[in-house]
Amino acid sequence: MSPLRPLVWIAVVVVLYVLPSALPTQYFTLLLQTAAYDTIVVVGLNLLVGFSGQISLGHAGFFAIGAYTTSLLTTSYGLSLWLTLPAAGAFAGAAGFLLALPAIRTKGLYLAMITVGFGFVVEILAQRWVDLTGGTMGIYAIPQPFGPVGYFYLVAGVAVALQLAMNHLTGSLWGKTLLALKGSEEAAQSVGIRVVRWKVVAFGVSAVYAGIGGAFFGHQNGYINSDSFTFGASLYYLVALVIGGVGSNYGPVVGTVFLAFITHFSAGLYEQRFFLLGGFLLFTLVFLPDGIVGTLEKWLKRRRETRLAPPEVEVDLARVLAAPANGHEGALLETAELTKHYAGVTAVERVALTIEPGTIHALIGPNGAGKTTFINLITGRIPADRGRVFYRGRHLDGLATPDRARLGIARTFQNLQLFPDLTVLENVLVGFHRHGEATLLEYALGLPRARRETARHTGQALALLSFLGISELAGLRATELAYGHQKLCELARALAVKPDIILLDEPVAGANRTEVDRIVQILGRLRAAGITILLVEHNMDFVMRISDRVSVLNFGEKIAEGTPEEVRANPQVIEAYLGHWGAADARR
Amino acid sequence: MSSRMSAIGVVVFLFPALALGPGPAAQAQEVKIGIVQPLSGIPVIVDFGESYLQGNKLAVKEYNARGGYKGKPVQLVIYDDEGNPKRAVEVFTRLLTQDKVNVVIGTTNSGNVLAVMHLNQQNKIPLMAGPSIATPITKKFADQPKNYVFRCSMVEEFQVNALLDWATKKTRSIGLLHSTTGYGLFAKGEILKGLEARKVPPVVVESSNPGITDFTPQLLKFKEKNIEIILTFAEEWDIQFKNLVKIGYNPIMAGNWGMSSGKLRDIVGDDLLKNAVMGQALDLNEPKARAWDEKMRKEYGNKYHWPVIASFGYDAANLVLKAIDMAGPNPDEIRDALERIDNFDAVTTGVPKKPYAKDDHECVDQKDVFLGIWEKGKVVRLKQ
Amino acid sequence: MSPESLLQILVGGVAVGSIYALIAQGFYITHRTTLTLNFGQGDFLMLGAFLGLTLVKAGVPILFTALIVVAVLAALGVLLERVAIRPVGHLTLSWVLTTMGFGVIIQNVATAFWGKSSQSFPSLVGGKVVDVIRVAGVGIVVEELFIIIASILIMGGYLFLLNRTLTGKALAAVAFSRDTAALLGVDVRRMAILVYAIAAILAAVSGILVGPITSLHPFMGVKFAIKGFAAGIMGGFMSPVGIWVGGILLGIIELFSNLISSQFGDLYPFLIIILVLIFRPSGLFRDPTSR
Repeated sequence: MSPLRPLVWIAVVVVLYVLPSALPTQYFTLLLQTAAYDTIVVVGLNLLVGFSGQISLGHAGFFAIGAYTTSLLTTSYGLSLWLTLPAAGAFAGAAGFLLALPAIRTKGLYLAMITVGFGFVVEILAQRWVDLTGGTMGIYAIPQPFGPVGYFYLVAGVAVALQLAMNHLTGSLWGKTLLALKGSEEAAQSVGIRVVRWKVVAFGVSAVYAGIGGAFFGHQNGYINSDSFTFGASLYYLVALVIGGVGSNYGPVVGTVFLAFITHFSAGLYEQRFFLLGGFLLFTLVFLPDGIVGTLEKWLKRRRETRLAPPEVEVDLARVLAAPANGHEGALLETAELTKHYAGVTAVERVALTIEPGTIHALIGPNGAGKTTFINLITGRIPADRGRVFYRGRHLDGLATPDRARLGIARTFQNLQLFPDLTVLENVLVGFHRHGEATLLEYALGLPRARRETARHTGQALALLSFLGISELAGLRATELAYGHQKLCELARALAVKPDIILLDEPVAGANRTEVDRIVQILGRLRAAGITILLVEHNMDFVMRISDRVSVLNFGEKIAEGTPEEVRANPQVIEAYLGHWGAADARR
Repeated sequence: MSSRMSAIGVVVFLFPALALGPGPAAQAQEVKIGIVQPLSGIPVIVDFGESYLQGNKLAVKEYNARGGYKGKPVQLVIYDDEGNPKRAVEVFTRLLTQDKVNVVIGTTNSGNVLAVMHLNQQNKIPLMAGPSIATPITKKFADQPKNYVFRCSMVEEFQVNALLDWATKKTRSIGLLHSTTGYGLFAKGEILKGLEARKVPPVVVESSNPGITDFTPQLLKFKEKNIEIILTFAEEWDIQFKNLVKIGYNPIMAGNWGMSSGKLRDIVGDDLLKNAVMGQALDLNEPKARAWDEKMRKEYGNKYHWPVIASFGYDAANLVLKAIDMAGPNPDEIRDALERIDNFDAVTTGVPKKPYAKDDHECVDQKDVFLGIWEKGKVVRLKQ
Repeated sequence: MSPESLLQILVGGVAVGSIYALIAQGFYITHRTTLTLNFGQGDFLMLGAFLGLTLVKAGVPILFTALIVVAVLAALGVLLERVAIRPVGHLTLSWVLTTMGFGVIIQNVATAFWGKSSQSFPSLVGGKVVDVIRVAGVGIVVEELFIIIASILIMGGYLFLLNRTLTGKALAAVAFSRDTAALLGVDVRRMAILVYAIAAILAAVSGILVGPITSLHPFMGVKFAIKGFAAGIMGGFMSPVGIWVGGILLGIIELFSNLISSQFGDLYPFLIIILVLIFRPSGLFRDPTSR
């Protein structure tokens, strides 16, 4: 952590302390208070949109819940602010969880609609449930503590604290995990991340923030009514976030302050105000898609060197990979009658496969033979129509992908599913997911266990990257790498799972001779370390060199199995490959 | 996140503060009137706000043309509260503490007025409320030594009483249609109370939600019970009248002054408004009212379409200006002067020569409110 | 409640629902092809209504009015695609905000020209304010009938376009895989422009039809956009029939909710939509060609 950083925060605190005196009228103090609690809401929204890749067009609903919770608890029950503020956050968070649980299966526009619906439901209830909320006549005599300036200090103080917590969260492995699942849900699941849970938690946390912001709104003017919780309010937060910069830590505060500034400046121009707003929005989205802060960040980062010096690490692979407890006798992975049909196409037909521990088992076949589908069936990405997958003797029916990964089944992807927002190192770090124990709170507060874990995994990640020969690329964005290196990065990530078996989908596709040799070496060493490998490949030379056993699929059916030599000479196999390698091989 | 970024963030954060700075000091002798109205948002509400503002502006324009205050023109500072209480608090606070106006006129939504009144009371700057109609507005601070809240507008209680007196004498077949906005719910309360006091319970009560596009389900319920008079306190009157034609039903539609807007007549036409009765305080059959109506038409052309709201706005501004003439720019003294005004020449039919007193901050009283109907394109007094 | 009244409400629901269907149909064609849609579709509709109103009041015959309005809005749709869709792409949901921003600008242009209050729109046929036809004791306004017919025709048009014409196949191809379609010679960019022009034309037609029967003011668009969006979501953006059914359903639910409880009547449609989405995350109708 840069030594300057605490100084900067001290400066921020000083500035906040001085601001009300620099802008002495009550009007400006009011604006400052509003900017402070609006910032809290938008910081939470940023987590949801920028880091977990979801959307909310109804965040005013959580804001409302927070506002009403604190207003009702203080006016009807006389509870103290110090109790009701956290209560407001808690209620809003609970609402967020409740909404997210069923909603999480929907995506994109459909999720947007659910949030819109939620926002309207809250607004309507606030307006009509007059006995509870006072409707449009509202709730009066809400306590306004500490006077205007004092209240600003309170809100600003909480805002700063919540911003710090969010910084910790997003900068930590926890935040990287969110970005990972935003980038590729599939890949995230493949390293054991229970995506649904994470999305729900992100939703809940962002709702908590909104609720706290709403609570501060409740006590600001001593009065609230249902007119403040409209669809327009939800849009306002989104606009502030976008203008500030989605996914950047300080985007929310910059966007909020900017909008507040425009609102103040244009108050006299009541004819053209919304014109201005719409114009700004359009301009920002088209020319500054990363927002003010995002664009600044990009511009500054371009000048920075991001290569890390590779540490001198001893590559004790066996230790890093924690040799799997191979106390199990018999096949490690077995499938029986595994079948998958699509409309009009049989992808996999009653395939029975047995993979012995500590071996490299290849699955080959012409294009469209069903090989990738087969892998997807094993990892649980798609459900089988018939048949089962057995792992260590137990069937995997009903087990979701992340849970299968947590049992020790890792994979790579044919079409590369790296996490685009993360560096190479971070990609691998996320791979260690199932070995992490620190909780959300520990990451938010930067507690020791979280930091130790991150440090330990970082060391191990660098070791893995070293082993694969790409450790000097650790600091680069994963998407900036050459194709071959990207494949190695994905392999490192899969290895981070410390799997018993790793499923490689075309590991040498598009690789040149040198790279193929390298992979052969690597796979050999992995096997020596006790890891079982199932690989799908087209490169026959490679397959023959490295495999212990080969199975052949054609039109979804297994047509041959045996040692590489046996399979190569099998007439059925040659026929299946007619026009590919078979004829050429037979001529050798 | 580098510390460089944090530094930039701080600067960006500071920028608005640096750019705004404290405003210019207010000049001693210049008189500023602050006006807050909803100038964007729900059209019917905007209609209220814009019409009232038209009256305000014409009065001030004429005043300045006559020489203004001690030779200097009176300034208007106008803000839009968007019909939103949060925004209302912001702009009122700005007028009172930043722009330092001498008096404030506004706003339309009663909820907003109720939310900001205490600011005027605290800052000792009089508020001329209007066109908000909620009854308690002028009563809240009545028990304090000085009440800074006045109103020049219709009062809901008065309209409701006038309507109920007339309706309950005509028939017992009465229904109530109200919206679930603050305006509608408030009216519902007053009407149910009033009907009970007159021992004529409503036969059917229906509500409607904001943004409604079709009243047919509710209207059919009234039709099935053959309701003769529907008390309508749902703002989308144009849709109601059109729906009535669709289902072939012809009750008397009795509501508050909202039905006297020229926009409504533009949309549904004289024919559909034959059976409309509304609360009023401006009789365009009177010569004074007619002359003023002409003036407004000349000034605003087609933009002027709601006489009674504008007339209250006109009178409100004139009351304020008269108080300024009497007592000078000091807000406290303006407040006192308002209570003393004794020879006021109002345009609104119902406003008397002495509109205010220490314990009466309403410019019209119950007896000054009457019922109106549409006749030949104008709203005139219903002869009872 | 008498059966006659119930029937009246049903018909009213179908009429209102057809308006929502029209909007949803505007969303459908662009979403099908580009995975984006114009959140300002309601504002386009509003503009179409206002333009139509001005021309009709100036004495331009209804047919010419329609042509002019269609042309103007089509041009606007092309502009929208260029300014608000193409630069931001469809991956993030930025286009939601850009199209909304565009819509806000249209709203403000409208207030500058026509003021903020409601306007009257004369009936499209005859001079009466409300032109009612009575069938079996049920009253239906002429424009409502037009709208119902229009929405059905458009649904039919979509089915024809997508299943029978080459352009339709090209549109579906672009939706399935942009790059593949491009490789096969489909001009992807032109397809995007085309669908946004079509959506805008739909908005124009809807605006002229809807003007006479609704409260016409510059801020009416948002309400329609949300309802149309909800209708499309409920029906599922994948099938032309689904879109139409979604709209009609929403209209019927809305009116019957108001019948059952006029106080919370607008709550139920949203609750129902949320429920539908929980059980069918992609809407009621699945894509007939989906895997």
